[in-house]
Amino acid sequence: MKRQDPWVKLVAAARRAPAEESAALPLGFATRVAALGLAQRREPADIFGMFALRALGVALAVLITSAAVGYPLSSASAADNSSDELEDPVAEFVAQL
Amino acid sequence: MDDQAPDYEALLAGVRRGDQVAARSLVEVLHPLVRKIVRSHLPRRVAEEDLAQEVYLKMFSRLEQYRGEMPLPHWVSRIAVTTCIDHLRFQQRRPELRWADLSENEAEVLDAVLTSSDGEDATDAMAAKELVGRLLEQLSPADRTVITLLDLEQKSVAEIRELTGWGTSMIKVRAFRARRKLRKLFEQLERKERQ
Repeated sequence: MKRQDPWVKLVAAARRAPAEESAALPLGFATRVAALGLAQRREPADIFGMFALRALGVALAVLITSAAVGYPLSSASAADNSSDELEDPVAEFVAQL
Repeated sequence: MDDQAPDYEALLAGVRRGDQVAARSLVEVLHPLVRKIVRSHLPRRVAEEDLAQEVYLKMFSRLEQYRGEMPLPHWVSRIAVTTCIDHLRFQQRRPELRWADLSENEAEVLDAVLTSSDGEDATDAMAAKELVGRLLEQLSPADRTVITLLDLEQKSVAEIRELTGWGTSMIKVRAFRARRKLRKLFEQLERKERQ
């Protein structure tokens, strides 16, 4: 005679076990979870807004700093370039001929 | 509590408006369902209340994704099942189960299911349930979930598909693999006991 699968027999026995019933919600559980859930739903927009404003502020600061630092340097190098253009020894030599 | 089905639409609308009372009512209405799922798939060392809370917080955060294609309890059940599977993945697999690890009642139950030829045993149902839990801990989280739903809760493959989002063939493969592993476990236990 073929032996019945022990797992089948075991789960059949386990299914007869009474379900553990503690019907009542823990005290304050629903209120706490509802408050956390609603707070969590509000958070993403707030966080996005906060980060967007911060990012805008940082971008402006970087822009002003780079303009303040970069403008004198670029104007100085432009001046250097223009003086270089005037000093042309070959042209001077050709002109002397 | 009245016998009327809860008005999920009204509760959801309330939650979307940020109504605290509606949010609390939704938790209260869904709790029997969530508690049942969490309890039957509860990993070791995780409190039932903590896991249930995680399920509700996921539900609230993903509420915008709920389009009403399926009833709300089904959608929440899926969140609960996947949350339990995630926790089971973090849980380290138990070391090999040995006969010596079993309580006296569990050992008696195991002996009865291994030796008796008929299906109806006068076994201790609570001890059988505990033993089932120990054996299930030897399976992978996904296999454990499938076999719990299929054999313990006697859900159909279609119901499991809805709960987990897995395909029919994947569920059948997992069930087959899990039962094969369980058969091996029984054989190992029996062999070692007789040595």
